[in-house]
Amino acid sequence: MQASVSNSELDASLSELTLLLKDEDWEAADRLTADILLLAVEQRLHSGERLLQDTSASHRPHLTAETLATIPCQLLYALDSQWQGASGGHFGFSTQLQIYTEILSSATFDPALRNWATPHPFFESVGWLMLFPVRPLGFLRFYNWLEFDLEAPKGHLPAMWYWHLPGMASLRLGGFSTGQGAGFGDLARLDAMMLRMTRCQQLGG
Amino acid sequence: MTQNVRCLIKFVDPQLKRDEVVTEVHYLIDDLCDLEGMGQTRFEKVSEIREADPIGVGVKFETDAERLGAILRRLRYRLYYRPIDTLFFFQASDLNLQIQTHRAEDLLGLLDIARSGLLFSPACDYLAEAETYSRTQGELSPTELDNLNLLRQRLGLSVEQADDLNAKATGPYRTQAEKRRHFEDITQAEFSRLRTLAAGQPLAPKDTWSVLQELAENLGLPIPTAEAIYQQHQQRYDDDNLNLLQFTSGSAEAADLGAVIPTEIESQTQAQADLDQYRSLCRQTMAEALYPSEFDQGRLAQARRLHTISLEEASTIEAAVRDELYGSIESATGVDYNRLRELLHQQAWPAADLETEVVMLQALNHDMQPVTAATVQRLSPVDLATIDALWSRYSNGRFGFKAQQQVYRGQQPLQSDDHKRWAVFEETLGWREPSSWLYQGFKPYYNLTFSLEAPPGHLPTWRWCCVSLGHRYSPSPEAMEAVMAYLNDCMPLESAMTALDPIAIAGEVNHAS
Repeated sequence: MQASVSNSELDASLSELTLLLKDEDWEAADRLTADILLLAVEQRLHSGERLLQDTSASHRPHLTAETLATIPCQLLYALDSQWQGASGGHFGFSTQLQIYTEILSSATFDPALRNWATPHPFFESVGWLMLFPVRPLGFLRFYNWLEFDLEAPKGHLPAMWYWHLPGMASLRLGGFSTGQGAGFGDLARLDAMMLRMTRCQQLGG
Repeated sequence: MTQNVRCLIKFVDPQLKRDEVVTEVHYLIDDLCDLEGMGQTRFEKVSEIREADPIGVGVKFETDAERLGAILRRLRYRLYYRPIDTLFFFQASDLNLQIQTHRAEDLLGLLDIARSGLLFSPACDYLAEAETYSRTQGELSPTELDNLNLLRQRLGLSVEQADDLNAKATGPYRTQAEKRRHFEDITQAEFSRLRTLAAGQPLAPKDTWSVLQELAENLGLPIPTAEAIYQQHQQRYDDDNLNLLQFTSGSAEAADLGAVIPTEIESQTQAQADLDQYRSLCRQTMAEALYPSEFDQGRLAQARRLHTISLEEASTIEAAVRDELYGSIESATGVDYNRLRELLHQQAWPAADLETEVVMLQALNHDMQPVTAATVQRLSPVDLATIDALWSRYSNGRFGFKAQQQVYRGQQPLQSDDHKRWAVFEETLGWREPSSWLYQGFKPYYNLTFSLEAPPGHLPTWRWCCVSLGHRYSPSPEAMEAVMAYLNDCMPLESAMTALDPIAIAGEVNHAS
C-alpha cells in the first residue's frame, strides 16, 4: 500500500530492530523505533507529500501531531507487532493505546481543566512521570531515567517517539531542550499518536 | 384341533439390493405382526451369505394353521403391490408347500391347496380378506362386498358372523366418506388448536402431519387422501397468516393462483404480483426496525419460498425497501454506509460521529490519513451527499453538512477577517467557547454535545480533518476553509442562490414556465 515502507533503508532498520528486541536491548530498540518513524516522515517529505504545517520552518522533521497523523499504517503495524512479540504484549503502541482508551472511557480526568498539577492519568499509568524532587508533580522523566526492562510498568515503552522534540518545543513545555524530559506531557502529540493507531485499526488490519 | 404350520418366506429376487432386502424383511414382519392374533408369534430371520457377509433375506416362523389363510392373503396383497420374486415354504404335519413367484395370483392357488389339506378357520380367512379390501380403498365397495358375500357362502359363515367381521375389518368408521369426515374433523381441530397456541406463526409446524398420518393409518384411510386433506388445511392456515400480515391488495390474486391456468402473460403478472407482495411484506417488517427481527426474517423467508423469489432478488428488494424507508446509502467509492445509517437510526450520536470519520477516511482511500486542504477534493460528492442526507434525516435537518453550510452562510457577511470568521463559525456550531486573552476556548472532543440539544450543525464533527482530538477539538482554519469551499461546490444551497444571485433564479423561473 505504501511504497515508502518497502524501501530498503526502512527494511534494514526493521530487521535491525528485530535483532535488538530479540536481545532485549530495550533502549537501543526504542531509539531505533523513533528513528524509523522519523525516517518514514522524512521520506514522505521527499516524495513530495504536502504536510499540514510549518515543515518548511525547520528542515529537520519532527514527530509533531501533524506528522504522526500521516505515518503509514503498515509501518505502525510492523513496529507494534515487533514490540508486542518481543515483550509478550508488555510494550508497544497498541498496549499504550489500550491503556489510553481505558483511561478515556473510565477516568473522571477532564483534559479541559488545564490544571498543571493534574497530569494526564496515562503518564502515571505507563510510569512516565518524574515523581521526584527535581520537579514537582506533572513533569515527565528525563529519557535516561526511564526503565529499560520488563519490570517497567505496562506500556512504558516505546517512549522515544514521544521524548524526541525540537529544542524550542521542549522549552515551551517547561523542559530545557531535553525533549519531553522535565517538561509537561504534550497532550496533542500523545493523542495524535493514539488517534493514528485507532484510525489504522479501522483499516481492519 | 390346533395344528402348527412352519412358514418360511425368503426374498430371492437377484435385482434387490442389500439394504432393500433388509427393508423388505422389516416391512414383511411388520405386516405379518399386524394380522389378528399374530402379535405373539416369534419371527426368526433367515440369513444367507451374500458378498461374504451374512444378511437377513427372509423370515421363519411357526403359526397356527388357522391363520395360514389370513397370512396368505396378506402376502398376496403385498405381492400385488410389489411383485418381488419370493420363495414361500409352508410345512404342516403331512404337507409341504413350496412356491417361488412374484405374481400375486399364484398365492391364491396356494391358498386353495392349503385350504383343502389343512385345518382352516373360515372366520380368520374372511377377516383377512375384508381387512385387505378395507386397507386398499378405505371402505368396502359394492363389488368387494359382493366378493366377500361369495366368500362367506363358500366358507359357510352366517350373515351375522360376516357382518361382525366386516365391522371389525373396517373399524368404527364404516365407509371411506365417514373416515374422511372424521379425519377432516380432527385435522380442523388440530389447526384451530395451532391458531390459538401460536397466534400469527406463519408456518404450520411439521410434526402435526406425522401425528395425523398415524391417525390416517389407524383409520385405514388411504394416505394420499389424508395428505390432500392435511395440505388443504395447512395451506389455508398459512394463507390466513400471510393475509393477516399483508394489508395491501394483491394477496387476493395470489390466493387465486391455483385456480388460473398459468399462461405466459399471467405467469409474468403473477411474478410481478409476487414481487410486489414480497416488497410490501418487507416494508412491513422494516417499518419498526432497520433490520427485521429474527421472527420477521422467518416470515420473509417463508414468503420468499411461497412466491418462489430467488435469494438475490429478495435481497435486492430488501435493500431497495430499506433505502426507501431509511434513506439511500449510495456510494461512488464502494463504501458501505449501512452501519452509519443504523447508528443514526438508533440516534447513537457519538458512535455515528466516529463512524462518519471511518467512512470518510475510507472513501478518501488514503491510508486513513486525516482529510487535509489538499486532499478534501478527492472526496466524492455522491458520498458527501449520502452522509449529509443520513445525518439530516435522522436529526430532522438539525445536523449534517447542509446545516453547517447554512450556519456558515448565515454569519459569513458579519466577519471579514478570515481567522476570526472561523472562530465565530466554531462558536456558533458550539465547537468552542468564546476565547479570551487567557483562554483559547477549545473543548476536548469528548466534551462536545452528542445529542439533539446541540446547536444546529454541531454534528457531524469534522474530526476527520483533525490530527488529535483528546485535549482539544480544533480543525485547522486552512482545512476548514477548503472543506467548506468544497462542500459549497458539491452541494450548493438553493436558498443561498436566491440570496446571492437573483438574476440566475429569475432565469430559471422563466425557463420553467
